[in-house]
Amino acid sequence: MNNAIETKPSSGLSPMIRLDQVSKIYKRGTEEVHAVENVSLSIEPGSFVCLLGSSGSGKSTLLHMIGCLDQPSDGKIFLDDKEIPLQERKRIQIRRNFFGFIFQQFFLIPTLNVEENILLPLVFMKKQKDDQALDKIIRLVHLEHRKKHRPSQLSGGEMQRVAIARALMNDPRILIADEPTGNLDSKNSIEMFELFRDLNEKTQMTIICATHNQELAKMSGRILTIKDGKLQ
Amino acid sequence: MNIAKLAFKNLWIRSARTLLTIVGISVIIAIFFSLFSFGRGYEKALQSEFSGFGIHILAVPKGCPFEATSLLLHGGYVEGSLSFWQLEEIREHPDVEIASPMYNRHTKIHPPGKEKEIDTILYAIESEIFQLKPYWNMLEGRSFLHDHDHEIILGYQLAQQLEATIGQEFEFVVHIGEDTMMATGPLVGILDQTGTSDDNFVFIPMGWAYEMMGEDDLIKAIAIQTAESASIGMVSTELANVQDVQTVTYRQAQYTLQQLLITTRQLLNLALVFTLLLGLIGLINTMLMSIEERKKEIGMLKALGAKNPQLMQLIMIETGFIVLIGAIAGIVLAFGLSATLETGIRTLIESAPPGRLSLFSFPMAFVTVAGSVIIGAISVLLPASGLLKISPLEVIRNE
Repeated sequence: MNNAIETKPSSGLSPMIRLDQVSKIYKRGTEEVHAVENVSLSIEPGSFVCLLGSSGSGKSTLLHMIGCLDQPSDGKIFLDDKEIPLQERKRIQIRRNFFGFIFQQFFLIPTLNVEENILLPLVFMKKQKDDQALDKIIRLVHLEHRKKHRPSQLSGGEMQRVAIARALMNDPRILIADEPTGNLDSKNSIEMFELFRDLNEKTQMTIICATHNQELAKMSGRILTIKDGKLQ
Repeated sequence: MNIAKLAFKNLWIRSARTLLTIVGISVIIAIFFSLFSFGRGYEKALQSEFSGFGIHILAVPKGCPFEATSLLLHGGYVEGSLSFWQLEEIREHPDVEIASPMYNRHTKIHPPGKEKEIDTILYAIESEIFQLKPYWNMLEGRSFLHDHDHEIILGYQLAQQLEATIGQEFEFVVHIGEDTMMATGPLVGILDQTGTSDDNFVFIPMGWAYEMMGEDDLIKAIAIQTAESASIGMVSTELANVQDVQTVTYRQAQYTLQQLLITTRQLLNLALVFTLLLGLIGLINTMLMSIEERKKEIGMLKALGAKNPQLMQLIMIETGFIVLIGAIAGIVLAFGLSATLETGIRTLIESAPPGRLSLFSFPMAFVTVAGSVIIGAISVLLPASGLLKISPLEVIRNE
């Protein structure tokens, strides 16, 4: 039986992400680096999970594998109980349909204003602009007054909120945030996590966030601590 | 928002590079288009000069007959001269209808009392020349009545430059060796525009030239029309037997000049190929340079869901736009610089035919622009496909 998942999200909410003995080994010259070692875990739909760990602990690698940005060296990852296939074309499709990404760097296009940056994923999805959805997302990230501003006119916190809005524009089922507060001060970092919590509560969107900040991690619903590539 | 708008925004953010690339392309296209237009224009000007020619054979002093022909056609001093006995011998040939002596010298002409003088060529002619040059028509005034009258006819363009009017006196100066000769005569006629070098010359009757300069070193060439055009080759061969005379038929001259043109065109084609190659290398270089800068952007767009064909479309729109604007600017530049180029060519090539040397054509301009865009698109395919191999993870990890 083919247990590969469909590239379109299903309507069911049952076990969303499951990792079974997942490992990632990088080669650095002749040396093998075990970035992630035999990680098994399950993430329920609608949960807000934090991967907590210091720099180099393997949290980002784990996050990238969950988000189909990277492939495990060993083990299996299941999405909606179906195994994520190895073919890059199918992985891209899954990435487009299931996930929204936020990174430490905001990756905003400087010549586009806030609204245009948020709408960018739709350009590549060939989807029509939905004004109501756009307004809703902009309100959600509190950028109503900044719609026509360029990234250079925004603060770091505002830029990250634009990146969040952009990740939400494609209506993803899972939001992947890799050290989203890495470039923010503590006040903005707390605001960011409050926004995630608000978003999770209001939309029941699954949020998986990697951070090294224990205080921020406590704002999530579940903390998964990772050290030397292993779940603690 | 669509991919095209994103492409233009990308160009805008790199406005300095975009502008420099456009300037680079426009210069290359201007050179390419100018060279091409010059090749076509030169050939057409040469053909038009020979068409309607009434001179079947030109008898010139021994030397290079084609150089002498070219100099006589376009102005310039011919070394050596023919004598009157040679003229008589040619006239005695039964198949020669007209044999008209021609003399030319550099001169400076100006209305007496006025400082404005123009360097030109003085041609001494006999009245039969009108039969040999059927395209000569009088715009104003009349032709010479007698061979020894002290009268002047001006070519169309020269008359305009001098703002000449019929009846006005003109003074011209001729240097022969150490001697300087000055003469004055009334303007009796202005030739209508011929589109040939004759438009820039001053003409006097041959008899007046004899009086001024004597018979030595006077006849530089003899223009000959045969009774039957079929006998041109035979007559030319026979006249070549006259002592110290070389003959050249207008067909031979045309053929030789065309051969010269073909050689020139081949050199031009080589230059065109190198120009295109340089442009291509420049464009690929620009694209390769921008790849490193764009890795982050492309990786991020991929993380946002962009597919390779969409990113290729983005790059192609950017390249296409740059090349399109560059090519159009290049064509405009070529138009603008054509006058300067012509002046330069005329300075370098004394025997360049009259008329426009750069022949612009809109279909060719269109082909150049379209071809540039296609070549530009092809030239970015390789660097672009390299760029598109980047994984979003590569970008994220590098941050």
